Amino acid sequence: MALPAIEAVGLCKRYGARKALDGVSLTVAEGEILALLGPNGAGKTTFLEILEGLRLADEGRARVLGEDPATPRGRRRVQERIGVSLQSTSLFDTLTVAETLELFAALYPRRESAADLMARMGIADRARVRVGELSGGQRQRVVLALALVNRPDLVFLDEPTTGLDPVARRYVWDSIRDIAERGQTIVLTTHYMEEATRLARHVAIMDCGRIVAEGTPEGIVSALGLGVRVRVEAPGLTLAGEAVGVRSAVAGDDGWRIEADRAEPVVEWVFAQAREQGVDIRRLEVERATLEDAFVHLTGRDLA
Amino acid sequence: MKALMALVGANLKLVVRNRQTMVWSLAFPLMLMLLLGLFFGHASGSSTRVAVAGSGPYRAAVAQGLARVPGFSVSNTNPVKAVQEVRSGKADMAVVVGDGRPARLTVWQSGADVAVNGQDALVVRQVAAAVQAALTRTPPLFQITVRTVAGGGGHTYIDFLVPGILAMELMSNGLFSGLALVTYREQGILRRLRVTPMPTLLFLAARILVQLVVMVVQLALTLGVAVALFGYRPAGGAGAAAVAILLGALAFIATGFFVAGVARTADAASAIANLINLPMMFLGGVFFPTSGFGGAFGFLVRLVPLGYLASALRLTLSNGEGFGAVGTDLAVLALTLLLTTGLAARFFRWESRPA
Repeated sequence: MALPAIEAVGLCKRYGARKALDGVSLTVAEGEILALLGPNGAGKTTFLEILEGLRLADEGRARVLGEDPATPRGRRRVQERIGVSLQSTSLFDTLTVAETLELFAALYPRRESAADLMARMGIADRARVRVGELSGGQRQRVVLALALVNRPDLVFLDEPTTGLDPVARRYVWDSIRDIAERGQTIVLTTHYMEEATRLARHVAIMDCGRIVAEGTPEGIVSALGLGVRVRVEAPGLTLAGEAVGVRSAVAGDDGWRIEADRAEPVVEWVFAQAREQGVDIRRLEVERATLEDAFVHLTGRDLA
Repeated sequence: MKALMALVGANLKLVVRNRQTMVWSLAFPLMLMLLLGLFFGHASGSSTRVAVAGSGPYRAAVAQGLARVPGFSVSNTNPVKAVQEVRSGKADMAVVVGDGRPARLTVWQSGADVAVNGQDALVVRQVAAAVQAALTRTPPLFQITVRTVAGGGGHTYIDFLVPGILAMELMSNGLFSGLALVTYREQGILRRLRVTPMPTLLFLAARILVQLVVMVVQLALTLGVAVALFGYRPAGGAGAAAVAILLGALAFIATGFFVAGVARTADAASAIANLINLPMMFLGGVFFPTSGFGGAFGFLVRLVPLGYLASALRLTLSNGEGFGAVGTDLAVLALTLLLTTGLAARFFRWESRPA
């Protein structure tokens, strides 16, 4: 029997008058990667903090690795078996990389060798360098290594790539995939759609303390029925008649922007009209709705 | 246990690698003591160090003559080094004897204390005259001896100053011990430590232990300098002094942690700590006795915990008294510790307040 790594039911948390969490229920299976997407203030961090035993929920209950993080005993057991990466600043700047890993390893009953971790994260040559002297990407890999120092069964990564350049981001993605391949369950929060789609098969979109959509990235998009967008570059083309499932067709300077349920009828219609009028089609692009579109649709806001 | 050792080790490294703190907690009080001791402590008890250099037939005679003056300690060196020693403070005066007749006799002084310099120069003239009288076999008309007079009651300013400086060091070190906590809190490091299964009090215990270690090093260094440079002699009362030091140190660390709880940023914590530090330093009787004051000022003076620590250290270390003499001081310090610990616990926060 595979117990879920996380089972949250109806979690609520308010700070004063503000509802940070408004009934969040979520199950994360063992060994999967869950990406929590949402704008700042959506409640992602509060949700993680409750699971990590840093905060108590006002309502609802949570089980993490079969334990209740709201009780002192459960909290200790959870914290022994989870790995956590907070924002990249949460390190002692004047300790070296090796010293940092050894310090944190000493705080856990089960531990991974610092040398192995540094090798895995590609920072073995930085072992004797003080953390304050590292680049942003290297620092973030120390934060990741720190999250693995107790050989955790479940890893929480709070915005692991925020503020990193694209190259460093790719390094961190590789490291996260490496963690997942070892069977460790991962929960990560992110602002980046690309990060969620590339890393996770299980995505939950949060807004205003609620989960507004959950599933695979494709599943979320198709469930919303956002359809497709067809851009046609063909100066002088007029579109007469109709095609199945067209929602809107807007003429621009040198072509059309068409929104529709499906691409094929639209493409056939455009080609037929162009042939009839003897107009050249310079370019035709079909865009499927992305997770980003889904997000904007769901929250009425841009993510970044 | 392993966790505590690791935390203590890491915190020691953090403290030692924080250069600013090290300078302020080690160098500043020493500098202060050196300055005050040199300005006010010179005439009472400590000797004038004279570096004698030069050549010619009279050099040895001058050196011997100076060595016989009470309160003078004479060392022999070469002219260049002699002047360097005055410049670096290793000697109070350099006397360079030249060849020829009349032999040129140059006196170099540091210029730090005009009154004392004048006296010392007079002594040199006197010695030179005595040497001349002896060598030329002219019987002296006068025999003048210049002696330094020890401070009244056998207690010198240094005896007063050293325990005060020790108390001040404990206070400053304790008051500013919360700064690092604020920084760690701001940077989310405390939060990171809180998601480990380590009991969070363990981190604070390690931090306090390390702070105590730094304080002990600081006190030992200060005492060493006081003994070596100012001839300070601890008179005893080590047991009672140790208890006073421990109570005072913990009370001031607790105050520092309380400051850390109240302040939102490290800068604010620093400002608050200074706001406590400066008045306490002057009201606490570190540099001058405040016990004789009456009225509102006297009342204020009696409210300052630093005064009780300074008094306890003075009675024990300088006067050699034991527990019996410092009962009130220790009781006040213990009470302060209880109060500040309560405040620290009440206001302590692991997370930054949302802005």
